[in-house]
Amino acid sequence: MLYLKLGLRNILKNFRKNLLTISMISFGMIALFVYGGSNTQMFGQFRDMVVHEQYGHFQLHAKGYSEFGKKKPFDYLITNASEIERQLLAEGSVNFVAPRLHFSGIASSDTRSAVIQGFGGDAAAEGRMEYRKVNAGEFIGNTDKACAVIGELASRKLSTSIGSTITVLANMKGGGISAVDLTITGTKKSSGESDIQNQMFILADLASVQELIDAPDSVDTIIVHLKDGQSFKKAERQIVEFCKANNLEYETWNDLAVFYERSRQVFSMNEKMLTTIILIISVFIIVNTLYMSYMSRVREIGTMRAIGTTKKQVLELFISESIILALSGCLLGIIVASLIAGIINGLGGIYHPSSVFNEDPYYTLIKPEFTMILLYCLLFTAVSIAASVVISFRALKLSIANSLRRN
Amino acid sequence: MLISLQNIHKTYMLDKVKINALNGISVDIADGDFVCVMGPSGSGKSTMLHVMGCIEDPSSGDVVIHGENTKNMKDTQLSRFRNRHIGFIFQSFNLISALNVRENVEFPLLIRGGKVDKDLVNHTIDSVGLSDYVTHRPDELSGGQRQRVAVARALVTNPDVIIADEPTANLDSKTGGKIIDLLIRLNQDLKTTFIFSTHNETLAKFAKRSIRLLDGEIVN
Repeated sequence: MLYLKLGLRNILKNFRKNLLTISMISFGMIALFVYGGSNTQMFGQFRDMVVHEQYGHFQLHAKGYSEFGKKKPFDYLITNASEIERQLLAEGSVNFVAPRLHFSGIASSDTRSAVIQGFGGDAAAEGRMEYRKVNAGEFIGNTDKACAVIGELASRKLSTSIGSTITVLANMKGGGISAVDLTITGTKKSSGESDIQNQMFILADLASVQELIDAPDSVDTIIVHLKDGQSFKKAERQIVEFCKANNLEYETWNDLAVFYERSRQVFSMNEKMLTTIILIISVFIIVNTLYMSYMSRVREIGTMRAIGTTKKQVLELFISESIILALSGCLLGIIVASLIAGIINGLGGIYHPSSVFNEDPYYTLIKPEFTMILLYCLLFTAVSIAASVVISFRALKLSIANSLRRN
Repeated sequence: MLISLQNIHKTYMLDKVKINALNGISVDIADGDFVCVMGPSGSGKSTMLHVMGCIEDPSSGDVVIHGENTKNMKDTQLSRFRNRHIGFIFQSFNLISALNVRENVEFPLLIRGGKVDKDLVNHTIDSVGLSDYVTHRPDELSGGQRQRVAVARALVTNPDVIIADEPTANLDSKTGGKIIDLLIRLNQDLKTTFIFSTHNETLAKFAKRSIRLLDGEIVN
């Protein structure tokens, strides 16, 4: 307490010199607050999009599907899909499920044919996910009519139009080839425009695909959406038990969203570099300020040592001063950054043009996480303490008598 | 014997020149003594007081205080030893500028840890006549008042000895005289041992005993 009081008084006494350090720390905090807060929000939106529109929170398959499903997809089907879906929906944490049955085959129009990949899905469930966003026509509806949404490239290659019919040929589960006629309700351009595989796809109603490959009540994937993403960990424990009981396996959205994770790592690396640069600059300024403060108090420190202050206590004094400086800078930074964030958020957020994350321009708000701010405060404090330790060792190298001789 | 300096040598390097500040000094100071150390500039007065006060190590020789040889004490041990047994008064007062009078006087007790005896602090401030200035900062006091604060700070731990390095040098003669009067009174009333250095022959007359130094040696 004595050192905190003394440290505070010393800082106030040399306020103009110390203001530079406080300002530096607060500027650093503002930069990290705004950048980190914007990133957090941006990746929060991106994560929500990835989960809600693409992968769900979990994807369930028959056991062995991930390892062998590519080679022998029909050997790893969930053959009692309705019952599994019913049980999943009975779990309190599950919002909805989206069953899918993938296939590949040849699609033919009146004049042309093309190899396509696709899946059958439940219209209502898929309508809550990415594929609802058609570029032309409509999404498949819950009708008895066999229908499909088709990729734009596939549509061009087959020369189809909305309302026209294509015939799809595919291998059946038990061997042999089957065909089904599907009415095109809409076309869709995938976000990965250059990805031919993505463009040569077809999304048909589940019943038609199950009929096509002769696999009634069978799917290879059940996408699970939770009511509350915050309870992910708890839900995962339930999914683990559920899979054990039903001879299933699961993947989380994070396992599947490789692009999201890579992007997050790139931005996280940028943030770490920015943090490192700011901290390095802070070290130099804090060392300089504390050194100037020490130089103006050499004799005072000598006097303190003469009357019995131990080296450890002098170190504590310097550390106290550095902690006060760091926390003052952080507090000032947080206050100013909050004001800036409030103004920017009030104006609608930071504008981002269309990018790989989103087809449309979008805005992100500045909303840093509490733990992130706490971490920055701890980092600045740690850097300050390290700087004060350097100065203390320098101060304590001088003998007491020599300190007293200084003017 | 309270303090015994035994064959003390102190050598400095000033750039590349070797300076012998103290040349085999041996001196004993008795409990309750009031000793004046005299000598011209560069005679080794301050160095001797620094060695005696355990704030400067001798190049050779022994410093024995209260029967304890300080040679083998570690830094922390020596700091605590100074805090308990030795008080200091400096020429330039050397108060802690960020603290007020009361806090400056309290400081040697605060660094011991534990609770500070407020009555003792008040009594000590009162004994140097500064009761009305307890909340003043050093820069709000005159030179004489500052030196009184320094005296109170030295006294508050009830040390065995108070070492004063030219305590009147930065004061006018009248104020310097008052400070010496204060030291004499405290020596008589509290039986505190005082060792002070000065150039002033008049002030030296008040001492019970004088030690004269010349070129790092005792000449009387």
